[in-house]
Amino acid sequence: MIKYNSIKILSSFLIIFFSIINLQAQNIDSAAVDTKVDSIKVEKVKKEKTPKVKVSDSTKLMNDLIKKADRVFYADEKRYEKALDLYLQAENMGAKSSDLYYNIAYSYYKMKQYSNAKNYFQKMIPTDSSSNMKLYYYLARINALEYNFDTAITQFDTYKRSLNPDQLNEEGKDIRKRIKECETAKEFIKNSGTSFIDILDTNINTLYVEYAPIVSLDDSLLFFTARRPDNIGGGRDNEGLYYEDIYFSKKDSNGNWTKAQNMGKGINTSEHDAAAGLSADKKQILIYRSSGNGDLYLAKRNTDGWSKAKKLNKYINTASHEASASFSYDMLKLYFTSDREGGYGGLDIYVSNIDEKGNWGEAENLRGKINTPYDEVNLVPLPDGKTFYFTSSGHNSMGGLDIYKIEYKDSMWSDAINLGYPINTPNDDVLYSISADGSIAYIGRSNSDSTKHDIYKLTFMKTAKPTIDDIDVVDLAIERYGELLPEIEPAVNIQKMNLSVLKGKITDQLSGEPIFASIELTDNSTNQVVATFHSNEQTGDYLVSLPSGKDYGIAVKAENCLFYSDNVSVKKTKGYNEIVKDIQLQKITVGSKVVLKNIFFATGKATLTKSSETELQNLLKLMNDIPTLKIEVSGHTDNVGSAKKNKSLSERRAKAVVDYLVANGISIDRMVYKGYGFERPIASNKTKAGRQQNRRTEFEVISR
Amino acid sequence: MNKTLFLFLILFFVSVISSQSLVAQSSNVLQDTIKVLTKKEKQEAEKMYNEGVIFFKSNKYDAAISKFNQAIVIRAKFPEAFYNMASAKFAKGDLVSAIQSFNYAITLNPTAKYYLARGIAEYQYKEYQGAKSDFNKAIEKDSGEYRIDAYYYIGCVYFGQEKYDEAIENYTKAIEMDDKYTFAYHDRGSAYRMKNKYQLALSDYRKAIQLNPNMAIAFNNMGSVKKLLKDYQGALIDYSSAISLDSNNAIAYNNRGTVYKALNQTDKAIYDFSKAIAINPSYAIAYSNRANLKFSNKDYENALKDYDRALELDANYGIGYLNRGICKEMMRDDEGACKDWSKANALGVNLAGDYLNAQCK
Repeated sequence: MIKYNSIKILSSFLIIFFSIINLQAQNIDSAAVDTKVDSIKVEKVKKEKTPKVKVSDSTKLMNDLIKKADRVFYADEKRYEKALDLYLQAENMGAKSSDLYYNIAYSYYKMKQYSNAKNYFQKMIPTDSSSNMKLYYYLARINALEYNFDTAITQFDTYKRSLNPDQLNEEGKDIRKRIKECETAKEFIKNSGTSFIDILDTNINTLYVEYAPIVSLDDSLLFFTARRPDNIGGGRDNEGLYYEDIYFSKKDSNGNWTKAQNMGKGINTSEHDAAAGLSADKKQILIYRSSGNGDLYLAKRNTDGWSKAKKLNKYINTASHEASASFSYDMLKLYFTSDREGGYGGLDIYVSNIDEKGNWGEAENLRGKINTPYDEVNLVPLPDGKTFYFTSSGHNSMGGLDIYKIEYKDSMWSDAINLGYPINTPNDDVLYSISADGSIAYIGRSNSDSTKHDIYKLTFMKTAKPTIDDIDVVDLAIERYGELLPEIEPAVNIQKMNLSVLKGKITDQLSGEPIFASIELTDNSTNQVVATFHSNEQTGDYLVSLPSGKDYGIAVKAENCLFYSDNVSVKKTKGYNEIVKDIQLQKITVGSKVVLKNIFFATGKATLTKSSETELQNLLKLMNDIPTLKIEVSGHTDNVGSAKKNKSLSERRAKAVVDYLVANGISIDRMVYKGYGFERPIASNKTKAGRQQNRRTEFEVISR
Repeated sequence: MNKTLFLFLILFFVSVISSQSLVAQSSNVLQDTIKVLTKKEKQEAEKMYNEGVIFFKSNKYDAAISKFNQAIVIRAKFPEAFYNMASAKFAKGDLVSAIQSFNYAITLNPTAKYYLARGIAEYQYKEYQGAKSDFNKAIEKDSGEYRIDAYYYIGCVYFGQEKYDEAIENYTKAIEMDDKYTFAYHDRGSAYRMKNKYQLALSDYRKAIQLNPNMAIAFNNMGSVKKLLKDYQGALIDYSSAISLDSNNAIAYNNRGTVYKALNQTDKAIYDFSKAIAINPSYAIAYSNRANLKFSNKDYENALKDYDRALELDANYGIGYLNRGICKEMMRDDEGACKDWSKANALGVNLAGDYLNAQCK
């Protein structure tokens, strides 16, 4: 079994950080590492220069290569890329074996070239059933990093089943933890939250390695660690990587980080210098230096700039490894990481309180709510004094290092809460600093298939606000069914033309022969002629249709006949109604008499009413038509009242008719008038109808 | 007997007689006679009016208006024609013009019925003061049905003015005079609901349903009160009743969807919202509710599409803006979220104002 945990490799802060984040420090595969690329080139050049050799020579060369590779591969100072190069050359020359594939795969694995590693591990499976079963363990780890959790679990299980009791005793705990991580990861991904993780731009992240972002609480100043050619001294460590230096950047007025700059001498030295923590007032910076197995330093900013960094006291720094420190907001506490004796295992977080003289006191382990047998680093407090974040590979990690939140209330630590996916991943996720309101944090992580570390900004998403479901109501019935106006007014009755038909036959009174006569109808209410028509020449028949409900005057005239007039009362009836009125006309001969039925007087007076007009006109026309005609106009009454009075009235009424004719141009010579009172009744005076008939005006032809 | 048949009979009659040579007179004279008499009696206006009534009853409001108008041209003092013309304009939704015509009708015939009618038109036009004054006139002039209706409508006016106590008082008067006044019970229920007197509200809705078991909206509103009381099962039953009475009841589908959502029955909720949208493709609320469901499933992209649609359909839908802002926030569109909350706040959604103050510059 290969041990590569962080405790064994304590030579530099780099190693701590990289081991924390499972880089397995020795073989950082980075484009930045020029020397290594060069060395591989050298090997390749050598290979090209190798002259053609015989088969036996070739086999020997191949075996030599494998031997040489094995020496590198199994050495204490492991150089996997070197070993890999040699193994691959041997494979190119035809070497094939389960061990060769395993060592190639493992080298790739250590170099984090997981897809290549996977290929070679898988090549082993069909070739040799007795091959190193550990391959399943590594395949499982790769699958977990690639989010293939079910496959990973199966492969861990396959490996576990292949172990003998002693091996199981040694490795079982690790395997169980990793299976649990896969299960946790599945659950976290299913219940993933909404947070945003954005890589910082090229003013901060370059093609070199950047990590450990320490950002001031007000999110305006950023310190971070990078391994770049412009480090103080410009040197590289024995891994060929540039020494760590601290860089800084400020936010410009648009809120963007400016181009990062090296902090310079005093802060940075020619060895490893890394940003560890920053005071709330931005005036004190905690620095990690690799000297003395890793110790913590403090530099202060005054008007002249940053002071020279001073090593913290013995309670903080021991012979063990100390790193990743932070101040409490009130500057009374210092939290830091150490793997000193007496801890829970791995790296643990400690706290030191400042004493009255301003010196840091004895450090205390923060105990089991935070520390585990695995690694805990980077306790980052919020200004509220009770909320903390830290990073751990223990607890319920979903793989590698995960970020946790924990609260300190009533002198008690709460349970640590894994921030879940997507803040945490199956890979390593480390939180270094957080803004005062807790909404933004800065984390370091690498791509799953790369050793290239970069700095990311984490925007914690608040829990989604509740959306409001809208119930729809129709409050008022009329909104749904419409306002109901009162009924419209109904149709009105149109007075229907209830017509009556007036019909009859006009004949000669004496001979009974039909007479062709003109007939004139007058509406008595208006005294207007409403119809003029003739009777049939052959039959004497006539017919007229009249609106009902009126009184009409009918006047019939024919040549050589006395005109006839009468009143027709057409009663208002429904529907059709027929009135038959046969009329007999008298020839104009001496002695012919006509009752002028449509001449009316005011009651008891001799004043002609207006409704007499038509009849009077008829009479006038007769007198004009026959200029020789002479007539007697006589008035008659019923027997009501004295004879004298009646006689006088009847005479005055007869005179009124004559006066009308005179007034209309008829000579008085042609007319006489007489009042007969009730001397000449034509009907009985005993009935009302009879009396009405007796009240009349007549004329008689006295010559023509 | 209608006019046409009547004329026909006359002509038929005349022609029979003429053919027998019994009549010495031509039919022209006969007709002329009739014509003279008719005109004199001014029946033209009434005929136009009656034609208008027939058009009105077959919902041909434009034709009806035209006929009533012709009647009025012939006979200016024809209150029924003005009233019916106003009613036709009202039916068309032309409220301003309807109110004008009611004005003429009332000048000629200031009855309770006419005041009530104008009041209703003014009510719908949200001219509440005028409406109330007309309803009071109707109450003053009538002791029967118009008076009852006038009380009911005064209740509606107060409801519209959010004066729920006064609304309840007037609905109650209407109910006292007519204890079978379904609408008054229903609306009083709504007024009680607004006063958070949920039990009284339920009792009135129930009474309305008792009087008219087909009143889908009473079921709907009863369901909504039950939902407020978190009686989700009861609410489901009522909304389902509303739907079974009216299968195109988009509102009830929408509301039932919100209950299913509250019960975490996501599939059924989605179905109901989608059904509401299918029935009424302009139903902004259902779009917003469906969006909320997608949002709660973290399907922000599709939620946003539904929110957008809802606000396209109703640019003044405050809750829609609030919700879309929340969605945009989760999609990291802080600027968009703030814009939406600002709009929602302006439309009276106070919660959006809180978000705005807390999170937006």
